[in-house]
Amino acid sequence: MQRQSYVVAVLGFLAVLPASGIVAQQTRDVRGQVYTLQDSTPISGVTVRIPALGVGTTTNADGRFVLLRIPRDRHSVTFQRIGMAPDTVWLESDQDSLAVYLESAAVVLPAIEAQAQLQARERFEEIVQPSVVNIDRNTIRTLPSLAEADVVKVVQLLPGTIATNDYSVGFNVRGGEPDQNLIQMDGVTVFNPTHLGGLFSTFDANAVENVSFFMGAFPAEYGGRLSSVMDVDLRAGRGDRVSVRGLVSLISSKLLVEGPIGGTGMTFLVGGRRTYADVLIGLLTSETMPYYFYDAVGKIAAPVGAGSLSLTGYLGRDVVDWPWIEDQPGRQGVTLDASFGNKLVGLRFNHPLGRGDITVDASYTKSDPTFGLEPGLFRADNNVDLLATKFVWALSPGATHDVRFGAGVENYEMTYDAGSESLSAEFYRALFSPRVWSAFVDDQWRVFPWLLLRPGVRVEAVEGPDVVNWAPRLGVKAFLTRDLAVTGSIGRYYQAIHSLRDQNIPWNMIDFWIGADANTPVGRSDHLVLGFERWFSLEMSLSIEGYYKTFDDIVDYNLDEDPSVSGDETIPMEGEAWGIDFLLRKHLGRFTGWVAYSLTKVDRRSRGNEFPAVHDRRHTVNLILQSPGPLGSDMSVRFGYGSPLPFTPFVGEWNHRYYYAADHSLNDFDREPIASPTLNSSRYPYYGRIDISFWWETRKWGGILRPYVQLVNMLNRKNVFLYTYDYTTAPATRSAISQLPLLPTVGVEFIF
Amino acid sequence: MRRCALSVLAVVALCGACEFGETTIPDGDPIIVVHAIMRPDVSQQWIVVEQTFTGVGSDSSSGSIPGNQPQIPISGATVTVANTSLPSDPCGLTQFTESPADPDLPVSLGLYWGPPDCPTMRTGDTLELMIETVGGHVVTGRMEVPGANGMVLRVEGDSAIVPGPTLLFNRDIDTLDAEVLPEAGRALQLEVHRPDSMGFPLAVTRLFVDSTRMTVPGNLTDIFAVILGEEDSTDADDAESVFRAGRYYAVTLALMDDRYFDFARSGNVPISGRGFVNNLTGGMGVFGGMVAESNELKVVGEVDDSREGSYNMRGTVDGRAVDIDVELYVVATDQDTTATSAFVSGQWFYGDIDTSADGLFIGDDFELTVYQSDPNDATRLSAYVLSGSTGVGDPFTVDVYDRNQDLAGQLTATRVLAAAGFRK
Repeated sequence: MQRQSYVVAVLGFLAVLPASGIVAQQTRDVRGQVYTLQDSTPISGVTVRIPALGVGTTTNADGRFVLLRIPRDRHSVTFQRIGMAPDTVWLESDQDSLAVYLESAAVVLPAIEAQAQLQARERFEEIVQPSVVNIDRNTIRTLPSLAEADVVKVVQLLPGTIATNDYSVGFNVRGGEPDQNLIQMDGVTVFNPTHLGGLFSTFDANAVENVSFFMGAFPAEYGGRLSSVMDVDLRAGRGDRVSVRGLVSLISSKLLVEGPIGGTGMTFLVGGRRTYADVLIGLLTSETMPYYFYDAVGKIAAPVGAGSLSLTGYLGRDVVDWPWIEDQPGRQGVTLDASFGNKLVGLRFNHPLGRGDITVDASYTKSDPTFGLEPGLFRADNNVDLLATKFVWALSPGATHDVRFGAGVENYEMTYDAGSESLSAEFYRALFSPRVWSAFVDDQWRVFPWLLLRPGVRVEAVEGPDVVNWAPRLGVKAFLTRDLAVTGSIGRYYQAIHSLRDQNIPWNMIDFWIGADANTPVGRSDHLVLGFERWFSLEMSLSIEGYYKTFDDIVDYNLDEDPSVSGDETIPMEGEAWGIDFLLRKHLGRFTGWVAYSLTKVDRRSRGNEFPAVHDRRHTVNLILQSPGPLGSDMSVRFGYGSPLPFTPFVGEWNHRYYYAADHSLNDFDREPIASPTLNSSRYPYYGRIDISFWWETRKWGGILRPYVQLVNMLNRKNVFLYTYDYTTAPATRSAISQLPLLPTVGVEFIF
Repeated sequence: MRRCALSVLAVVALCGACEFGETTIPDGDPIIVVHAIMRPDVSQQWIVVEQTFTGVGSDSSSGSIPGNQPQIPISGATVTVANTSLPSDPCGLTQFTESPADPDLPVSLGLYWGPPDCPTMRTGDTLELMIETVGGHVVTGRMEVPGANGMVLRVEGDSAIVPGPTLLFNRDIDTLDAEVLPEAGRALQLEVHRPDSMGFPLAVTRLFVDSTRMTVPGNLTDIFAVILGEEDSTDADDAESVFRAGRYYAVTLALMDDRYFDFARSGNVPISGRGFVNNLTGGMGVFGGMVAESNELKVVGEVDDSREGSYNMRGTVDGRAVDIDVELYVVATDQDTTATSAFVSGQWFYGDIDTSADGLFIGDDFELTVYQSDPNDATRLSAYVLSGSTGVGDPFTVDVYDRNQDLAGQLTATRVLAAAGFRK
């Protein structure tokens, strides 16, 4: 590919101003935006300079920049960023705005990949934050997964992260529970981020710009969860033209449209996805498939002075509509009617303020799973509403300090309602409504050129249990050489909401969230992380971190809870986790990818018993290789190994009989298994899986077509999902049910 | 409601997961299972003591327990119940034995009977169970005796203190309202079954709520027959309504205590093997209590099919003069082939009859099976099939066949237009 730079000089409103006004004005403020050449993604961190004047600035997260009070002469403007080809453009005397497109410095790689590499290196050089990984869109897009790219499935391949089986997008980070991961989309909290009971996440990979994944010891800006933060940034739409991209796979199709809104400087992005197996089966067979899911995401971004305003929305729903017992003359039918979904909307305003910038977020999230047998036989509703707002002011009071402080409030309302209209019966009703006020201050201090400290503190006042919790944090990074740094971090974390699940059920369709109150405590965790990070040129990095975490006042689902008693839903639990995470990552070059290895030990204590957690996987290895493949393809290979996970075996079965009052007799029964009272006392066999995908790219009809073939579990290894038992025979027998078998999928992505 | 994992299995199936690698495993850990529901309103108490399945095989040939068969009975145990609220209980420490004094009671290994009217059970009394097996395992439990100040059934303005007179219930428009007035107890269990289902398994619908009142719509579909039970579960396609017009039903209201409620509402999830709320120590199962009363319901429906109506049938059957009124309803209105039920009253083979019968319509041709017990010998049961056609005009002939499908007699049938009970 020929190295090129394209500069589009946008003549703004100056063109329509009176000439006298131009002549009278001696200086101007020049605004602009820098994009990648390949797909118009805004680039942050680009150094923009006018050498002749000795002035300069850097682009913000949206790729925007402002040069203040520039004389109305003709100037050359330079644009530089690691990983991008530098460029110089002319700023004409009558020009107030610029749109600049830079190309990747690495010829064979997409620009976005180079950008991701740059982010990683910049993070290494500039930020005191261990245990963080950035995943770019290209990596997400090309890694093999079931049917289509999935953000969460990629995160599950990082060190310190364990997915207990193929069927779940829930994940455990460094010994934490799945509900201890804060998952955000453009700063908006997402509950139940899954489709199809966990096989797919709610995030459309095409709409994702970048994923920042904090595996622990996250800074004071983040709170509310004990273990990790997955921050998913959606792309702003393209600013240059309208573009359409989509993907057709065996399971679903999706379409995404983006572009500028007139000449306003605003951009939009809107995408949608729906499964269509229900439609196909209905058309091709006499059978019906009563399930589908859909989701839609949208984002509007607008420049506001030197800042920006964006509005993000998401709507997703899984729908089950199954005519379980069909309507017949003389018999009223019964329909199983269930749906699960999220709605969220978030507004983000970012603007320079003084020597920094301020970001204000306001958001609303709703998750409202419901299950029913209609008409009126049974209905269980759960509503989780979160109204949140916060601001963060980042400023640099001196050359050696980067201070961030902010505050916010989160208002939760979680209701549960189960009953039968037909029987005029209420089975369960509960309301949890914690409100969390928070404030933080965080200073990254470059004490010496080779030593960075990051002290911070976060305070959270929780209404409900009425507690005030202080969470100090401290990070340190010492550069032994330019490419080698020792890192460490320690901090305390609190969590005011919990999800309830029986940890011995390896798969859960949705999380049931409850909030801290007089009966349910606020969870607490302390993190200690020590490690180092080493870079080998700009292409490859190695990080090794050891950690120790404590878990206090976390809760387990009380299986003996009484539906008429409020506050007995949980039983207290505590525990520890320690481990070592190893990540060798190649960011650039003909071969990219990573090797991740985790050594983990996770224990829990509850009701006087100590036991390994269900995610106590001692060794986890994930090898990701992305390289040119056969027949001109781009190839991604994933090899995964997990040492045996614990489970609680069954020790017998019993006939749970029905008693009939009319004749004082026992009649009929349910045969039920009996789990060992010793939790997690056995282990499944080890887990292994190899996935591979091949992507091709052709230009056709004025656009780009990317057909792909993927093989999930290409060796068809039968990883055990769970065991079934038969104790009614002599001798007793046990069979295994497998996780995902070999699943070939094909599809095509298109961009116009 | 017992939890089920159908959704999990559906997803697993969807993803092509397969079952593999069946292996034999060591025997499990035996646990003593107790089913003991104490009934202060019943003279004779029993307690079933079994063992969980652990891979040692089962023994279902040793007899029967009330309503079912034992699995792995635990025999020879010492089973006692004490009323700790009544130290001077005339029953003393009630001993339960596998050899009851009453020879009419079913006998089985693992089935322990108490003496009649023992232990003494007053509302609110605390009972303590202790079972000690031959091997020395001890199971204990505790419960409080429930008691009700009354039970009421209401149907659209009509009501009955249970037990009381038969209530007329139009399944197409009425809702049954059941309530217990507890003196001590937790929740209501309601059972609907056919008292006259002679020759057929007793079809029972069982509902319970965590309150002392519930309603049951007349057109409720019996989903519980589909989702519950290993032995009598029904395919979803064959699910029926709880109430069918043309039938008598017995409705039993029962007030259960906390222990029994926990036993009924919870169960071990098939995937995790956990979830059952066990209130016994040293074993699992239930030591709970209940009081119950029953009332009869005469279920009718809207008359919206030309075949429905009241008919008088007279003639002879096996040489005996009979004269019956048949109030007949079809299940599926306007369906050519449909089930039918009818109230049958008058003089029949063994004398007075007032029962309900089931049958089938094919077009206008019907067959109706009428059962009747000999009032002098309950073991003798007559069963005749009435076969005729409502489409031939009045009067018409109804043939009567016996068990051997031999013609046993003929009746002359006349349609009575204004059928009692159709309109309230």
